[in-house]
Amino acid sequence: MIQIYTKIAAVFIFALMLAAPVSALELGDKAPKTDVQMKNAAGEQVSISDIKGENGTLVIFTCNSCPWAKAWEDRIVEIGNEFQEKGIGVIAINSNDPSVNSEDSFDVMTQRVSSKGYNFPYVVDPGSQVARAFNATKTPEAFLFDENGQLVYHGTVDDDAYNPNQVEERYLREALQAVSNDNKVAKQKTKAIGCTIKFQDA
Amino acid sequence: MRQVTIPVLMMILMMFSTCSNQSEDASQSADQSMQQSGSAIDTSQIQLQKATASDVLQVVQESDASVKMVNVWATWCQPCREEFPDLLQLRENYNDQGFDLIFVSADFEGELPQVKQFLADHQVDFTTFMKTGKDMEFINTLHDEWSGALPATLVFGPEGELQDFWQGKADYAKLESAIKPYIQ
Repeated sequence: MIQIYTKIAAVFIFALMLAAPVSALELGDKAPKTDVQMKNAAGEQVSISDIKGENGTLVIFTCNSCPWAKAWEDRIVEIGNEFQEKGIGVIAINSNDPSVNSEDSFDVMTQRVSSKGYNFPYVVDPGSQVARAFNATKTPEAFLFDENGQLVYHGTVDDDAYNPNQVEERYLREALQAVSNDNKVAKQKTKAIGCTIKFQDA
Repeated sequence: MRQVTIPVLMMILMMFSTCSNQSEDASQSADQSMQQSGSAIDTSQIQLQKATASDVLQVVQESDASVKMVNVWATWCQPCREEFPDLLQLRENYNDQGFDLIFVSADFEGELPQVKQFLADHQVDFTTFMKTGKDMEFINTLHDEWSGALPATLVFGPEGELQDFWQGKADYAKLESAIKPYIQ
């Protein structure tokens, strides 16, 4: 009898999950799925909790194949390396299904980490579960949490992917500076065109 | 669209023709799905206009079609390339019944040759647009809930009022059901 109730409850919960509206992580929210173990380029398992910084934590969903992620990659590496030194935990996450585009494979990730000089982990999101929990939709997409673990910035890197020398607003850098200095982030939500995340089947 | 003076038009034309001369290598590396069996049209015949989001919305407002679909795509965007033939099929089936399809490429400005080649390979013989200006303003002007992920599709009714919006790829059935209620 208990088994039947359990089954009914499971079906009910599942139905609720299907019906639940998809909404992005809101400002003030805590990071979900912080204990999911994700493989970095060195083959070690790393979670968001593991890299949490004393001043804040930056989670960037990115990939190897998207032209916008590529265009911003040098800036992402530069910003990530710099702020990791300033007490911000930094992690880049590839949630794309590599069977959609082989450029998003683990091997290419390891090549990028060494050729681009990532000093922070670039990891594989198993089953795209972390991206789903964040309701991330595209690459690149950044989520910055303050020292209390609350979301204070959600958006893009800056206002010009294609022309690095024509950037007028360095949204992510400014948000990181604010968080590092314990100030309020001025622009908390920004947008840019990007590639949809190619979610793996759950 | 705004009135464009003849010198500006000539400059654009010159720029386009210079770009297409340089484009041969780039276009050869383009996606294989572009290689269609039918006779492709020449890139010089492609009508592509630069547009801000406001320009796009103005095109929607000025269209007298009973239903207008704006599709924001890019040559490098795989789901965009996949749904492109379905969008063209939809236009083929409903263009004479009051359906207007408005393509807006969000490719980087330097990828103009690839955009023209893609449109030529798909025999797009009607005017389409290419995004100009900063991303965030473009995204938010078209739709508040759009994250910027491609493709993005908006459906407007007879008076240019927004009826539907989604991001990500749609199949033919979804595209058709979005415009069907407004078809004359």
